[in-house]
Amino acid sequence: MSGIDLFLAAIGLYAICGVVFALVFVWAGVVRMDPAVGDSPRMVRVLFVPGIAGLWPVMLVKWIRASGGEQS
Amino acid sequence: MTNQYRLVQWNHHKKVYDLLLAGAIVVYLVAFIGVSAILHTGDNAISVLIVLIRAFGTGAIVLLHVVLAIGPLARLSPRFSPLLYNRRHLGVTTFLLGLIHATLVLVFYGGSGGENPVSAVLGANSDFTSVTNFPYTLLGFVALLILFLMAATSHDFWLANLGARFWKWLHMLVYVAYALLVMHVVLGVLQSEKSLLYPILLGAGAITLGGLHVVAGLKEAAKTRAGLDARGEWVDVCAVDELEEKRGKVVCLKSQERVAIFKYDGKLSAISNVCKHQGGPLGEGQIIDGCVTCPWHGYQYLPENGQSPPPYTEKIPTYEVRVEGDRVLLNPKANEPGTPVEPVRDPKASES
Ligand code: FES
Repeated sequence: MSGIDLFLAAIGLYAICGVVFALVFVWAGVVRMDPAVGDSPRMVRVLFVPGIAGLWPVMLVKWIRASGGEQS
Repeated sequence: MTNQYRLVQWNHHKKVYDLLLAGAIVVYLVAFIGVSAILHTGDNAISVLIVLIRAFGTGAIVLLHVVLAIGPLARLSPRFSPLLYNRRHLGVTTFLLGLIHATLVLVFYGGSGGENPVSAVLGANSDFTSVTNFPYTLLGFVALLILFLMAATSHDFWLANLGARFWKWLHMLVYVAYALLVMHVVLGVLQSEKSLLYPILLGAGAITLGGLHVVAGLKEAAKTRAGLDARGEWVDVCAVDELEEKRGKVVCLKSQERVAIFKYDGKLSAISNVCKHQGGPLGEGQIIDGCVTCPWHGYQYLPENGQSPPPYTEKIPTYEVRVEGDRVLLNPKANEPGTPVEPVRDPKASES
């Protein structure tokens, strides 16, 4: 496997994890993190999917923090 | 302005702006294709796909120059502020043009054999130490990833949830994308084009952008140096007549804070110049429906208390003003965000 193939495989894996996470997150987590999303038209969430897929580690941390904050 | 998100924050002005943008892009693409058809005939002829690749690629770079020029232009003259109004749509459009360019490249150069087209295109050149065999497609690919991240996080949701600092940092990556694209074009053209037109135009664009940023930076620094002294005393700002009805005047204090003073309905009020949304210059906005309206994306604040009208909850600092003779004086000590301050009467308005 060449360097480029490894690079692309890493990006592909990151993107797949991101898309799966994003779909779960806009369905189950985003309102907990930002209640304003709950009051907004549902279609708006579709617009957030690419960004969540791209920044999924950041959003995962925010989701965990938001869940922790709600329990305490 | 944050209690609900909308798919696209369109209003009449933004729709006009977007229509103009779409029209300009169509004109550019048609002109590029037309000129290429005239220049590349006979032995010189090139494939339609290559023309389209160039048309969309150059379109993306031209638009990126416009995006990067708007900030310093607006700082140099408020006449350019309306361009800031919808800059994020320009950014998203830049990404889409780049994406079409990259897709066409994959179709044209990555289509043969069983190989993955992306790896065929990115792996075509692989010598990082050579100018003529440098993997310049990789530079374009990384720039496209950055433009994607910026386009995907341009909605207000992202500013609210990533926090202004991280969001700004993320969007400053546009300069990295620009540098990568300059190298992508220069190294790519060096490998395939004989004409020097592209590097020359690109050089002119880079020098113009660099010059605009330097001049705007120097102007800001000079404004701050010349800032009014603010050591706990009231400061003399200007004559009442210098203020225009329903318009702001930006005052720069020695502390580097900027204050926007507004004259409206026979009254004067002062609030912070910095919009809660993305730091837009409120003093360059206008009073619309009784609210100071940010020139960037239209957030609104009541001039007498710095609060966004209900149901919105943004608050910015307020300042006290008074009028002595025909002079406007300002107390440089900022009040807590959202503190109501009784507006002062404009003596000229009471006379008339
Ligand atoms: S900066 Fe966006 S509305 Fe003011």
